[in-house]
Amino acid sequence: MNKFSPQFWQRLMLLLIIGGVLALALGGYLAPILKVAFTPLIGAQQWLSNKYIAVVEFFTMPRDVATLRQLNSELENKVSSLETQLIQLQDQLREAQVLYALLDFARARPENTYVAASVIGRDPVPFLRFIQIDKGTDDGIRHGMPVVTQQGLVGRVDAVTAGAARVQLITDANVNVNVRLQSSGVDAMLSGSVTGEVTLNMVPQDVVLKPGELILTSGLGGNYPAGIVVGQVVTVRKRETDLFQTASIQPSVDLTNMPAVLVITNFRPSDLTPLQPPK
Amino acid sequence: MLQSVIFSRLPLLSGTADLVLLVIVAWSLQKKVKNALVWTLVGGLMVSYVSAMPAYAPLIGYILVFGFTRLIQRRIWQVPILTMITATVLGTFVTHILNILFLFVTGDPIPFQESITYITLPSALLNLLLALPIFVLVTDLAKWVYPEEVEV
Repeated sequence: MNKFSPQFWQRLMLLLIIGGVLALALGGYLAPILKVAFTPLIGAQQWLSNKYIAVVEFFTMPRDVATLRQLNSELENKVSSLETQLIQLQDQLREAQVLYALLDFARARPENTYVAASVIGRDPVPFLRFIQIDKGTDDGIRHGMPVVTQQGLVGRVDAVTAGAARVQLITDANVNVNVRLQSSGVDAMLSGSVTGEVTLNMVPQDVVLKPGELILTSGLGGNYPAGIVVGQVVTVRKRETDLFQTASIQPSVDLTNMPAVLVITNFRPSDLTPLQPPK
Repeated sequence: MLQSVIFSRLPLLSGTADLVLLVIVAWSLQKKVKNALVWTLVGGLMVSYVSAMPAYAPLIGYILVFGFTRLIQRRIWQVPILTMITATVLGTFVTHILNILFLFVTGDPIPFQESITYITLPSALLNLLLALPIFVLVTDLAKWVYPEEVEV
């Protein structure tokens, strides 16, 4: 007697076939067959999808273009606003970097009080080496105060208004600064010129002066505090027939390109006029 | 402001272009302009105020430049561009020599030969290069300020 009906065997066979097909599919053996079988279906579905999107766009596009145009102009405005902001921030960053450097210098010399100022112009007459800064008497700036940067001496305040001041640079033709040679401690005189070159004068012949020698303010004359770096010796001119040797100096500060400076506000220059003999 | 902020920072050797001088010369050459002397005084006073030059030397220099620009235009040449070039070169020399003289008189002398070689000659060259563009700009400005009258 057959215990199982023919239907049972049919179902079992069907289950076995399905299981076998699934096993083959999971094992990846049916991939080439499926690829061949599904390719026309995928193509058909793509075609149908494209047509559907085209139809939908046909009905919705006019409204979207207007919206997109509006959105585009809004984004363009935003981009230009952000670009402007970026430029402003870059400017502020550059200014902040300069101010940080000046702040470091000021912290390193706590005995002095400083006021930071931006350089806002130069003297329009090319014979003179002056700059204008954006701080004046309202900020505590007074005539004669020394002006420095983190690299060294810049000059001194020549004229002041309430909101601005004029600074005579050490390269000006009518400037003389009493200086000291760092290695030997010998005093000398630094003079500017009409072309902006700086010369070291009054160096005795017996002093050994070498390129690279550091020049500092001596404090003599009472116009500048002592010990501020002024520059370095570049070339030495020594002639046996001269009383003194001279040298050309490279100022430590790039005086042609200074975004900001520090004014030493707690230094009062000495007025030696009463001590000078009458002419 | 342009002179102080931009042109004074663009040197050739040690010379710089003098924008105020160029504008004064170009403005003085405009036929319809009647108030060129006023603008010369304004420009001269502003430069004198900003500069460390003593005794309003730039103002006096610019008044002289205005005077001989008008003189050249009336007596010698009627061609404005030729007058512009001549007045620019002459004006540079006149203002610079006047500045050197003022510095000498006020007790801050500067070497004459060095000043002429390294400052005045390069400045004259720069002014000469800028003379034509400035003349064109100022002429356009004059046409805009004083439009031609049309008979109806």
